[in-house]
Amino acid sequence: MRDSFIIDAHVHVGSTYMMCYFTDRRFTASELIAVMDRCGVSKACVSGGGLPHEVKKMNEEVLKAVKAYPDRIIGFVRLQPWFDDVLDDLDFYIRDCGFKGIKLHPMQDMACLLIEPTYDAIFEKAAKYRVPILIHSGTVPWTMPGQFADLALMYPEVKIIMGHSCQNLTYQHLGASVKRAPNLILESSTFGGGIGSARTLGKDRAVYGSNWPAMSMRAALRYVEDAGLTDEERSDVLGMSMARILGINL
Amino acid sequence: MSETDALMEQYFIVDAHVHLGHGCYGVQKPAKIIDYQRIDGLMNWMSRYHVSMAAVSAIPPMVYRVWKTPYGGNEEVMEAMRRHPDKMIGLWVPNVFEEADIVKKRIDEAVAVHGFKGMKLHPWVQAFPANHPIAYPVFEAAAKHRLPVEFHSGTAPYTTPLLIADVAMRFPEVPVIMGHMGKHDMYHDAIPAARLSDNVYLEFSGNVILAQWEKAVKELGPHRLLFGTDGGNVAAYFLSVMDLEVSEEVKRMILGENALNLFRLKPHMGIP
Repeated sequence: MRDSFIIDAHVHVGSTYMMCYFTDRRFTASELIAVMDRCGVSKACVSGGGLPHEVKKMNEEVLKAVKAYPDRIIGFVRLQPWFDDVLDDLDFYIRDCGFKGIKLHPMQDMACLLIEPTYDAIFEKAAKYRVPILIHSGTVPWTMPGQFADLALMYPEVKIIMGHSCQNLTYQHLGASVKRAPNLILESSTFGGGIGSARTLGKDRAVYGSNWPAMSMRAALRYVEDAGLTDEERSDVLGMSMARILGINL
Repeated sequence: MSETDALMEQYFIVDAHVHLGHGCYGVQKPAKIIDYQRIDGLMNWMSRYHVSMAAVSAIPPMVYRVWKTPYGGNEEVMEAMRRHPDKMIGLWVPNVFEEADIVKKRIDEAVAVHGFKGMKLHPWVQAFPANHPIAYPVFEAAAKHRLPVEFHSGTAPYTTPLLIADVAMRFPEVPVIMGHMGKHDMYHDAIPAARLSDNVYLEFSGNVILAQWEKAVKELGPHRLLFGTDGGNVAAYFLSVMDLEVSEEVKRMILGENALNLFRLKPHMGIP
Protein backbone atom coordinates (compact mmCIF):
# COMPACT_ATOMS: atom_id res chain seq x y z
CA MET A 1 0.00 0.00 0.00
CA ARG A 2 2.87 2.33 0.81
CA ASP A 3 4.02 2.18 -2.79
CA SER A 4 0.58 2.87 -4.20
CA PHE A 5 -0.75 6.13 -5.54
CA ILE A 6 -3.70 6.81 -3.28
CA ILE A 7 -6.51 9.31 -3.64
CA ASP A 8 -9.02 9.38 -0.83
CA ALA A 9 -12.30 10.14 -2.59
CA HIS A 10 -14.25 11.17 0.49
CA VAL A 11 -12.71 13.36 3.16
CA HIS A 12 -13.87 16.37 5.14
CA VAL A 13 -12.34 19.28 6.93
CA GLY A 14 -14.25 20.56 9.88
CA SER A 15 -16.53 17.71 10.84
CA THR A 16 -19.00 15.32 9.22
CA TYR A 17 -22.72 14.93 9.57
CA MET A 18 -22.11 11.57 11.26
CA MET A 19 -19.97 12.97 14.03
CA CYS A 20 -20.98 16.60 14.40
CA TYR A 21 -23.62 15.78 17.01
CA PHE A 22 -21.17 13.73 19.08
CA THR A 23 -18.37 16.28 19.29
CA ASP A 24 -17.86 19.99 18.76
CA ARG A 25 -14.36 19.36 17.52
CA ARG A 26 -13.49 20.68 14.08
CA PHE A 27 -10.60 19.13 12.18
CA THR A 28 -8.17 21.33 10.26
CA ALA A 29 -6.45 20.87 6.94
CA SER A 30 -3.08 20.50 8.65
CA GLU A 31 -4.47 17.65 10.78
CA LEU A 32 -5.77 16.05 7.61
CA ILE A 33 -2.39 16.32 5.91
CA ALA A 34 -0.71 14.72 8.93
CA VAL A 35 -3.11 11.74 8.76
CA MET A 36 -2.64 11.46 4.98
CA ASP A 37 1.13 11.42 5.45
CA ARG A 38 0.86 8.73 8.07
CA CYS A 39 -1.36 6.60 5.83
CA GLY A 40 0.55 7.18 2.59
CA VAL A 41 -2.34 9.00 0.93
CA SER A 42 -1.21 11.29 -1.88
CA LYS A 43 -4.33 13.33 -2.47
CA ALA A 44 -7.76 13.73 -0.94
CA CYS A 45 -11.07 14.93 -2.33
CA VAL A 46 -12.14 17.29 0.41
CA SER A 47 -15.47 18.87 1.13
CA GLY A 48 -16.66 20.81 4.12
CA GLY A 49 -18.61 18.88 6.70
CA GLY A 50 -20.50 19.59 9.86
CA LEU A 51 -23.74 21.20 10.87
CA PRO A 52 -26.15 22.17 8.09
CA HIS A 53 -25.76 25.91 8.58
CA GLU A 54 -21.98 25.67 8.26
CA VAL A 55 -21.99 24.75 4.57
CA LYS A 56 -20.86 28.09 3.17
CA LYS A 57 -18.28 28.63 5.87
CA MET A 58 -16.89 25.16 5.30
CA ASN A 59 -16.61 25.72 1.54
CA GLU A 60 -14.45 28.71 2.41
CA GLU A 61 -12.36 26.50 4.69
CA VAL A 62 -11.89 23.99 1.88
CA LEU A 63 -10.79 26.78 -0.45
CA LYS A 64 -8.17 27.84 2.10
CA ALA A 65 -7.03 24.23 2.37
CA VAL A 66 -6.74 23.89 -1.41
CA LYS A 67 -4.64 27.06 -1.53
CA ALA A 68 -2.47 25.87 1.37
CA TYR A 69 -1.93 22.36 -0.05
CA PRO A 70 -2.59 22.57 -3.80
CA ASP A 71 -0.80 19.31 -4.54
CA ARG A 72 -2.59 17.33 -1.86
CA ILE A 73 -6.13 18.63 -1.51
CA ILE A 74 -8.72 18.47 -4.28
CA GLY A 75 -11.67 20.72 -3.60
CA PHE A 76 -15.25 19.44 -3.78
CA VAL A 77 -17.87 22.13 -3.32
CA ARG A 78 -20.64 21.25 -0.90
CA LEU A 79 -23.93 22.53 -2.31
CA GLN A 80 -27.08 23.13 -0.30
CA PRO A 81 -30.06 23.35 -2.71
CA TRP A 82 -32.12 25.53 -0.38
CA PHE A 83 -29.66 28.39 -0.67
CA ASP A 84 -30.81 30.87 -3.31
CA ASP A 85 -27.29 31.34 -4.61
CA VAL A 86 -26.41 27.64 -4.77
CA LEU A 87 -25.71 27.77 -8.51
CA ASP A 88 -23.54 30.85 -8.05
CA ASP A 89 -21.54 28.91 -5.47
CA LEU A 90 -21.21 26.07 -7.94
CA ASP A 91 -19.87 28.40 -10.65
CA PHE A 92 -17.56 30.18 -8.24
CA TYR A 93 -15.89 27.13 -6.78
CA ILE A 94 -15.72 25.01 -9.93
CA ARG A 95 -15.08 27.66 -12.58
CA ASP A 96 -13.17 30.27 -10.62
CA CYS A 97 -11.45 28.29 -7.85
CA GLY A 98 -10.55 25.10 -9.65
CA PHE A 99 -12.56 22.72 -7.49
CA LYS A 100 -12.83 19.34 -9.19
CA GLY A 101 -16.13 17.98 -7.92
CA ILE A 102 -19.43 18.54 -6.15
CA LYS A 103 -20.59 17.09 -2.85
CA LEU A 104 -24.30 16.68 -2.09
CA HIS A 105 -25.88 15.47 1.12
CA PRO A 106 -29.63 15.11 0.43
CA MET A 107 -30.35 13.65 3.85
CA GLN A 108 -28.77 16.50 5.74
CA ASP A 109 -30.24 19.09 3.39
CA MET A 110 -33.75 17.61 3.30
CA ALA A 111 -33.67 17.46 -0.46
CA CYS A 112 -34.76 14.26 -2.10
CA LEU A 113 -33.00 12.88 -5.15
CA LEU A 114 -35.25 12.88 -8.24
CA ILE A 115 -37.70 15.29 -6.60
CA GLU A 116 -35.73 18.44 -5.76
CA PRO A 117 -35.67 20.58 -8.95
CA THR A 118 -32.51 22.41 -7.93
CA TYR A 119 -30.66 19.13 -8.24
CA ASP A 120 -31.56 19.04 -11.94
CA ALA A 121 -29.83 22.37 -12.41
CA ILE A 122 -26.82 21.15 -10.46
CA PHE A 123 -26.57 17.99 -12.55
CA GLU A 124 -26.80 19.99 -15.75
CA LYS A 125 -23.97 22.22 -14.60
CA ALA A 126 -21.92 19.20 -13.55
CA ALA A 127 -22.31 17.86 -17.07
CA LYS A 128 -21.23 21.20 -18.48
CA TYR A 129 -18.14 21.42 -16.26
CA ARG A 130 -17.46 17.68 -16.56
CA VAL A 131 -17.05 17.20 -12.83
CA PRO A 132 -18.16 14.22 -10.73
CA ILE A 133 -20.75 14.47 -7.97
CA LEU A 134 -20.16 12.69 -4.68
CA ILE A 135 -23.48 12.03 -2.94
CA HIS A 136 -24.14 10.52 0.47
CA SER A 137 -26.06 7.34 -0.26
CA GLY A 138 -28.30 4.81 1.37
CA THR A 139 -30.64 6.83 3.55
CA VAL A 140 -34.39 6.39 3.21
CA PRO A 141 -36.10 8.25 1.58
CA TRP A 142 -33.50 10.70 0.31
CA THR A 143 -30.78 8.62 -1.27
CA MET A 144 -31.87 5.08 -2.03
CA PRO A 145 -30.02 2.95 -4.59
CA GLY A 146 -32.81 3.01 -7.17
CA GLN A 147 -32.87 6.80 -7.10
CA PHE A 148 -29.17 6.81 -7.94
CA ALA A 149 -29.70 4.47 -10.86
CA ASP A 150 -32.53 6.61 -12.25
CA LEU A 151 -30.44 9.76 -11.89
CA ALA A 152 -27.43 8.17 -13.51
CA LEU A 153 -29.54 7.18 -16.50
CA MET A 154 -30.96 10.70 -16.74
CA TYR A 155 -27.47 12.23 -16.74
CA PRO A 156 -25.24 9.65 -18.42
CA GLU A 157 -22.40 12.12 -18.89
CA VAL A 158 -22.09 12.80 -15.14
CA LYS A 159 -20.03 10.47 -12.95
CA ILE A 160 -22.03 9.92 -9.78
CA ILE A 161 -20.07 8.63 -6.79
CA MET A 162 -22.16 6.86 -4.19
CA GLY A 163 -20.64 7.89 -0.87
CA HIS A 164 -20.56 4.91 1.54
CA SER A 165 -22.04 2.61 -1.14
CA CYS A 166 -25.38 2.48 0.66
CA GLN A 167 -23.95 0.64 3.64
CA ASN A 168 -27.08 0.93 5.69
CA LEU A 169 -30.57 -0.43 5.45
CA THR A 170 -30.86 -0.11 1.68
CA TYR A 171 -27.82 -2.25 0.84
CA GLN A 172 -29.97 -5.16 -0.29
CA HIS A 173 -31.04 -3.03 -3.24
CA LEU A 174 -27.56 -1.82 -4.15
CA GLY A 175 -26.35 -4.62 -6.39
CA ALA A 176 -29.28 -4.56 -8.77
CA SER A 177 -29.26 -0.76 -8.97
CA VAL A 178 -25.59 -0.19 -9.76
CA LYS A 179 -25.77 -2.60 -12.68
CA ARG A 180 -28.25 -0.31 -14.38
CA ALA A 181 -25.92 2.60 -15.09
CA PRO A 182 -22.20 2.60 -15.97
CA ASN A 183 -21.70 6.13 -14.62
CA LEU A 184 -22.48 5.05 -11.04
CA ILE A 185 -19.28 4.73 -8.99
CA LEU A 186 -19.15 2.99 -5.62
CA GLU A 187 -17.13 4.59 -2.83
CA SER A 188 -15.85 2.44 0.02
CA SER A 189 -16.12 4.46 3.22
CA THR A 190 -18.04 2.52 5.88
CA PHE A 191 -16.94 -1.14 5.95
CA GLY A 192 -15.26 -1.14 2.56
CA GLY A 193 -18.57 -1.35 0.75
CA GLY A 194 -18.45 -1.66 -3.01
CA ILE A 195 -14.76 -2.46 -3.34
CA GLY A 196 -15.49 -5.80 -4.97
CA SER A 197 -17.28 -3.95 -7.76
CA ALA A 198 -13.86 -3.16 -9.20
CA ARG A 199 -14.03 -6.75 -10.44
CA THR A 200 -17.72 -7.50 -10.80
CA LEU A 201 -18.78 -4.25 -12.50
CA GLY A 202 -15.59 -3.41 -14.34
CA LYS A 203 -12.91 -0.78 -14.47
CA ASP A 204 -13.34 2.52 -12.65
CA ARG A 205 -16.55 1.50 -10.93
CA ALA A 206 -15.17 1.45 -7.36
CA VAL A 207 -13.00 3.97 -5.50
CA TYR A 208 -11.44 4.13 -2.07
CA GLY A 209 -12.80 6.68 0.41
CA SER A 210 -12.56 7.02 4.18
CA ASN A 211 -15.03 9.69 5.27
CA TRP A 212 -12.30 10.92 7.61
CA PRO A 213 -12.52 12.31 10.30
CA ALA A 214 -15.68 10.33 11.17
CA MET A 215 -13.84 7.13 10.36
CA SER A 216 -10.26 5.99 10.70
CA MET A 217 -8.39 6.52 7.42
CA ARG A 218 -6.05 3.61 7.99
CA ALA A 219 -8.99 1.37 8.84
CA ALA A 220 -10.63 2.34 5.55
CA LEU A 221 -7.42 1.51 3.68
CA ARG A 222 -7.28 -1.88 5.35
CA TYR A 223 -10.57 -2.83 3.70
CA VAL A 224 -8.97 -2.32 0.30
CA GLU A 225 -5.86 -4.24 1.32
CA ASP A 226 -7.93 -7.24 2.40
CA ALA A 227 -10.39 -7.23 -0.51
CA GLY A 228 -8.59 -9.90 -2.50
CA LEU A 229 -8.08 -7.69 -5.55
CA THR A 230 -5.43 -8.10 -8.23
CA ASP A 231 -2.61 -5.55 -8.21
CA GLU A 232 -4.23 -3.64 -11.05
CA GLU A 233 -7.67 -3.66 -9.44
CA ARG A 234 -6.22 -2.50 -6.12
CA SER A 235 -4.24 0.23 -7.83
CA ASP A 236 -7.41 1.38 -9.58
CA VAL A 237 -9.49 1.41 -6.42
CA LEU A 238 -6.84 3.20 -4.40
CA GLY A 239 -6.25 6.04 -6.80
CA MET A 240 -5.98 5.43 -10.51
CA SER A 241 -9.72 5.22 -11.11
CA MET A 242 -10.34 8.43 -9.18
CA ALA A 243 -7.54 10.11 -11.12
CA ARG A 244 -9.26 9.22 -14.38
CA ILE A 245 -12.65 10.32 -13.07
CA LEU A 246 -11.14 13.67 -12.06
CA GLY A 247 -9.12 14.01 -15.24
CA ILE A 248 -5.83 14.17 -13.38
CA ASN A 249 -2.84 13.49 -15.57
CA LEU A 250 -0.19 11.50 -13.74
CA MET B 1 4.28 -9.53 8.98
CA SER B 2 2.71 -6.12 8.52
CA GLU B 3 3.02 -3.30 11.01
CA THR B 4 -0.67 -3.73 11.90
CA ASP B 5 -0.35 -7.48 12.41
CA ALA B 6 2.60 -6.95 14.72
CA LEU B 7 0.57 -4.44 16.70
CA MET B 8 -2.47 -6.73 16.90
CA GLU B 9 -0.34 -9.49 18.34
CA GLN B 10 0.36 -7.30 21.35
CA TYR B 11 -3.30 -7.32 22.38
CA PHE B 12 -5.73 -9.92 23.66
CA ILE B 13 -8.60 -9.51 21.24
CA VAL B 14 -12.06 -10.86 21.97
CA ASP B 15 -14.60 -10.42 19.21
CA ALA B 16 -17.90 -10.15 21.04
CA HIS B 17 -20.04 -10.63 17.92
CA VAL B 18 -19.47 -13.49 15.46
CA HIS B 19 -21.77 -15.97 13.76
CA LEU B 20 -21.75 -19.53 12.48
CA GLY B 21 -24.25 -21.47 10.41
CA HIS B 22 -25.83 -20.60 7.11
CA GLY B 23 -26.93 -17.01 6.62
CA CYS B 24 -30.33 -15.41 6.36
CA TYR B 25 -30.46 -14.77 2.63
CA GLY B 26 -30.33 -16.86 -0.52
CA VAL B 27 -29.88 -20.14 1.33
CA GLN B 28 -29.74 -23.34 -0.73
CA LYS B 29 -32.23 -25.83 0.68
CA PRO B 30 -31.80 -28.20 2.39
CA ALA B 31 -29.12 -26.25 4.22
CA LYS B 32 -26.34 -27.88 6.19
CA ILE B 33 -26.83 -27.65 9.93
CA ILE B 34 -23.21 -28.44 10.75
CA ASP B 35 -20.63 -27.47 8.17
CA TYR B 36 -17.14 -28.32 9.37
CA GLN B 37 -15.61 -26.11 6.69
CA ARG B 38 -17.44 -23.13 8.17
CA ILE B 39 -15.92 -23.90 11.58
CA ASP B 40 -12.48 -24.23 10.01
CA GLY B 41 -13.10 -21.01 8.15
CA LEU B 42 -13.93 -19.20 11.38
CA MET B 43 -10.78 -20.53 12.98
CA ASN B 44 -8.68 -19.43 10.00
CA TRP B 45 -10.29 -15.99 10.10
CA MET B 46 -9.56 -15.68 13.85
CA SER B 47 -5.97 -16.76 13.29
CA ARG B 48 -5.50 -14.37 10.38
CA TYR B 49 -6.73 -11.44 12.47
CA HIS B 50 -5.16 -12.42 15.81
CA VAL B 51 -8.53 -12.89 17.51
CA SER B 52 -7.96 -14.83 20.73
CA MET B 53 -11.59 -15.60 21.49
CA ALA B 54 -14.93 -15.02 19.79
CA ALA B 55 -18.49 -14.88 21.13
CA VAL B 56 -20.25 -16.92 18.49
CA SER B 57 -23.91 -17.58 17.84
CA ALA B 58 -25.73 -19.49 15.12
CA ILE B 59 -28.01 -17.92 12.53
CA PRO B 60 -30.31 -20.91 11.71
CA PRO B 61 -32.07 -21.05 15.11
CA MET B 62 -33.03 -17.42 14.56
CA VAL B 63 -34.39 -18.08 11.09
CA TYR B 64 -36.48 -21.19 11.77
CA ARG B 65 -39.66 -20.44 13.70
CA VAL B 66 -40.16 -24.16 14.19
CA TRP B 67 -36.86 -25.87 14.88
CA LYS B 68 -36.02 -28.71 12.51
CA THR B 69 -33.34 -30.34 14.64
CA PRO B 70 -33.01 -30.98 18.40
CA TYR B 71 -31.08 -27.76 18.91
CA GLY B 72 -32.50 -25.80 16.02
CA GLY B 73 -29.13 -25.08 14.40
CA ASN B 74 -27.19 -24.27 17.56
CA GLU B 75 -25.42 -27.56 16.81
CA GLU B 76 -22.69 -25.90 14.75
CA VAL B 77 -21.72 -23.62 17.61
CA MET B 78 -21.78 -26.61 19.97
CA GLU B 79 -19.42 -28.44 17.65
CA ALA B 80 -17.14 -25.39 17.38
CA MET B 81 -17.05 -25.13 21.18
CA ARG B 82 -16.27 -28.84 21.48
CA ARG B 83 -13.42 -28.57 19.01
CA HIS B 84 -11.99 -25.26 20.18
CA PRO B 85 -13.02 -24.73 23.79
CA ASP B 86 -10.30 -22.18 24.43
CA LYS B 87 -11.38 -20.03 21.48
CA MET B 88 -15.17 -20.16 21.30
CA ILE B 89 -17.52 -18.34 23.65
CA GLY B 90 -20.81 -19.96 22.76
CA LEU B 91 -23.96 -17.85 22.77
CA TRP B 92 -27.15 -19.92 22.80
CA VAL B 93 -29.92 -18.78 20.48
CA PRO B 94 -33.28 -19.64 22.06
CA ASN B 95 -36.52 -20.11 20.21
CA VAL B 96 -38.69 -17.54 21.95
CA PHE B 97 -41.79 -18.97 20.29
CA GLU B 98 -41.58 -22.16 22.32
CA GLU B 99 -43.29 -22.54 25.69
CA ALA B 100 -41.54 -20.71 28.52
CA ASP B 101 -40.62 -23.84 30.44
CA ILE B 102 -39.12 -25.42 27.33
CA VAL B 103 -37.09 -22.28 26.59
CA LYS B 104 -35.72 -22.30 30.15
CA LYS B 105 -35.06 -26.04 30.15
CA ARG B 106 -33.12 -25.77 26.93
CA ILE B 107 -31.04 -22.91 28.34
CA ASP B 108 -30.32 -24.93 31.49
CA GLU B 109 -28.99 -27.73 29.30
CA ALA B 110 -27.10 -25.35 27.00
CA VAL B 111 -25.28 -23.83 29.95
CA ALA B 112 -24.79 -26.86 32.21
CA VAL B 113 -24.10 -29.54 29.60
CA HIS B 114 -22.74 -27.69 26.59
CA GLY B 115 -20.98 -24.77 28.23
CA PHE B 116 -22.70 -21.82 26.59
CA LYS B 117 -21.66 -18.50 28.12
CA GLY B 118 -24.61 -16.33 27.19
CA MET B 119 -27.63 -15.94 24.96
CA LYS B 120 -28.14 -14.19 21.67
CA LEU B 121 -31.41 -12.67 20.51
CA HIS B 122 -31.97 -11.26 17.04
CA PRO B 123 -35.47 -9.77 17.13
CA TRP B 124 -35.11 -8.42 13.60
CA VAL B 125 -34.62 -11.90 12.14
CA GLN B 126 -36.77 -13.64 14.74
CA ALA B 127 -39.51 -11.03 14.35
CA PHE B 128 -40.56 -9.95 17.82
CA PRO B 129 -40.18 -6.64 19.67
CA ALA B 130 -37.02 -6.81 21.77
CA ASN B 131 -38.84 -6.00 25.00
CA HIS B 132 -41.84 -8.29 24.46
CA PRO B 133 -42.73 -10.64 27.35
CA ILE B 134 -42.20 -13.51 24.94
CA ALA B 135 -38.48 -13.07 25.67
CA TYR B 136 -38.80 -12.85 29.46
CA PRO B 137 -38.10 -16.57 30.01
CA VAL B 138 -34.73 -16.02 28.33
CA PHE B 139 -33.92 -13.25 30.77
CA GLU B 140 -35.15 -15.25 33.76
CA ALA B 141 -32.82 -18.06 32.74
CA ALA B 142 -29.99 -15.60 32.12
CA ALA B 143 -30.50 -14.16 35.60
CA LYS B 144 -30.46 -17.64 37.09
CA HIS B 145 -27.18 -18.50 35.39
CA ARG B 146 -25.74 -14.98 35.74
CA LEU B 147 -25.02 -14.78 32.03
CA PRO B 148 -25.40 -11.93 29.53
CA VAL B 149 -27.88 -11.60 26.68
CA GLU B 150 -26.62 -10.11 23.43
CA PHE B 151 -29.00 -8.35 21.02
CA HIS B 152 -28.86 -7.27 17.44
CA SER B 153 -29.80 -3.59 17.50
CA GLY B 154 -30.47 -0.74 15.14
CA THR B 155 -33.14 -2.11 12.85
CA ALA B 156 -36.64 -0.73 13.28
CA PRO B 157 -39.18 -1.61 14.47
CA TYR B 158 -38.10 -4.58 16.60
CA THR B 159 -34.55 -3.77 17.67
CA THR B 160 -34.51 -0.12 18.57
CA PRO B 161 -32.08 0.76 21.37
CA LEU B 162 -35.03 1.94 23.48
CA LEU B 163 -36.72 -1.47 23.39
CA ILE B 164 -33.45 -3.09 24.41
CA ALA B 165 -32.96 -0.62 27.24
CA ASP B 166 -36.53 -1.28 28.35
CA VAL B 167 -36.02 -5.02 28.77
CA ALA B 168 -32.61 -4.37 30.39
CA MET B 169 -34.34 -2.17 32.98
CA ARG B 170 -36.76 -4.98 33.78
CA PHE B 171 -33.88 -7.40 34.38
CA PRO B 172 -31.16 -5.27 35.99
CA GLU B 173 -29.19 -8.32 37.09
CA VAL B 174 -28.71 -9.46 33.48
CA PRO B 175 -25.93 -7.81 31.45
CA VAL B 176 -27.43 -6.81 28.11
CA ILE B 177 -25.14 -6.32 25.14
CA MET B 178 -26.50 -3.96 22.50
CA GLY B 179 -24.81 -5.45 19.44
CA HIS B 180 -23.98 -2.84 16.75
CA MET B 181 -24.82 -0.01 19.19
CA GLY B 182 -27.68 1.13 17.01
CA LYS B 183 -25.85 0.26 13.79
CA HIS B 184 -25.93 2.75 10.92
CA ASP B 185 -29.50 3.92 11.22
CA MET B 186 -30.18 4.25 14.96
CA TYR B 187 -26.75 5.07 16.32
CA HIS B 188 -27.99 8.31 17.87
CA ASP B 189 -30.19 6.24 20.19
CA ALA B 190 -27.47 3.96 21.53
CA ILE B 191 -25.82 6.11 24.21
CA PRO B 192 -29.08 7.64 25.51
CA ALA B 193 -30.58 4.13 25.74
CA ALA B 194 -27.51 2.81 27.56
CA ARG B 195 -27.74 5.73 29.94
CA LEU B 196 -31.15 4.41 31.06
CA SER B 197 -29.76 1.22 32.55
CA ASP B 198 -26.30 0.42 33.92
CA ASN B 199 -26.48 -3.16 32.69
CA VAL B 200 -26.49 -2.15 29.00
CA TYR B 201 -23.19 -2.65 27.20
CA LEU B 202 -22.43 -1.40 23.69
CA GLU B 203 -20.72 -3.50 21.01
CA PHE B 204 -19.74 -1.53 17.93
CA SER B 205 -19.75 -3.82 14.88
CA GLY B 206 -21.57 -2.09 12.04
CA ASN B 207 -20.75 1.31 13.49
CA VAL B 208 -17.66 3.27 12.51
CA ILE B 209 -18.03 6.65 14.15
CA LEU B 210 -14.94 7.22 16.28
CA ALA B 211 -16.38 10.30 17.99
CA GLN B 212 -19.36 8.25 19.17
CA TRP B 213 -17.14 5.53 20.61
CA GLU B 214 -15.14 8.16 22.46
CA LYS B 215 -18.34 9.69 23.77
CA ALA B 216 -19.55 6.28 24.98
CA VAL B 217 -16.31 5.79 26.90
CA LYS B 218 -16.53 9.25 28.40
CA GLU B 219 -20.21 9.20 29.35
CA LEU B 220 -20.86 5.56 30.20
CA GLY B 221 -17.45 4.44 31.34
CA PRO B 222 -14.77 2.44 29.53
CA HIS B 223 -16.08 -0.89 30.83
CA ARG B 224 -19.27 -0.59 28.75
CA LEU B 225 -17.80 -0.64 25.25
CA LEU B 226 -17.02 -3.98 23.58
CA PHE B 227 -14.99 -4.88 20.52
CA GLY B 228 -17.03 -6.69 17.88
CA THR B 229 -16.92 -7.10 14.12
CA ASP B 230 -19.85 -9.37 13.18
CA GLY B 231 -17.30 -11.41 11.25
CA GLY B 232 -15.98 -8.36 9.45
CA ASN B 233 -12.53 -6.94 8.93
CA VAL B 234 -11.00 -7.22 12.40
CA ALA B 235 -7.89 -5.30 11.42
CA ALA B 236 -9.95 -2.31 10.31
CA TYR B 237 -11.93 -2.27 13.56
CA PHE B 238 -8.71 -2.75 15.51
CA LEU B 239 -7.08 0.23 13.76
CA SER B 240 -10.17 2.26 14.56
CA VAL B 241 -9.68 1.46 18.25
CA MET B 242 -6.02 2.40 17.93
CA ASP B 243 -7.09 5.79 16.55
CA LEU B 244 -9.37 6.55 19.50
CA GLU B 245 -8.22 9.32 21.77
CA VAL B 246 -8.40 7.17 24.90
CA SER B 247 -5.71 5.72 27.12
CA GLU B 248 -3.83 2.53 26.39
CA GLU B 249 -5.56 0.92 29.36
CA VAL B 250 -8.98 1.73 27.92
CA LYS B 251 -7.99 0.31 24.52
CA ARG B 252 -7.11 -3.00 26.19
CA MET B 253 -10.43 -3.00 28.02
CA ILE B 254 -12.36 -2.42 24.81
CA LEU B 255 -10.39 -4.97 22.81
CA GLY B 256 -10.81 -7.86 25.20
CA GLU B 257 -10.87 -7.35 28.94
CA ASN B 258 -14.44 -6.06 29.07
CA ALA B 259 -15.72 -9.11 27.22
CA LEU B 260 -13.78 -11.48 29.46
CA ASN B 261 -15.39 -9.89 32.49
CA LEU B 262 -18.85 -9.86 30.97
CA PHE B 263 -18.77 -13.51 29.91
CA ARG B 264 -17.22 -14.37 33.27
CA LEU B 265 -14.18 -15.96 31.73
CA LYS B 266 -10.94 -16.33 33.57
CA PRO B 267 -8.08 -14.35 32.09
CA HIS B 268 -6.33 -16.43 29.54
CA MET B 269 -2.73 -17.17 28.97
CA GLY B 270 -1.44 -14.68 26.51
CA ILE B 271 -3.01 -11.58 27.99
CA PRO B 272 -0.17 -9.07 27.89
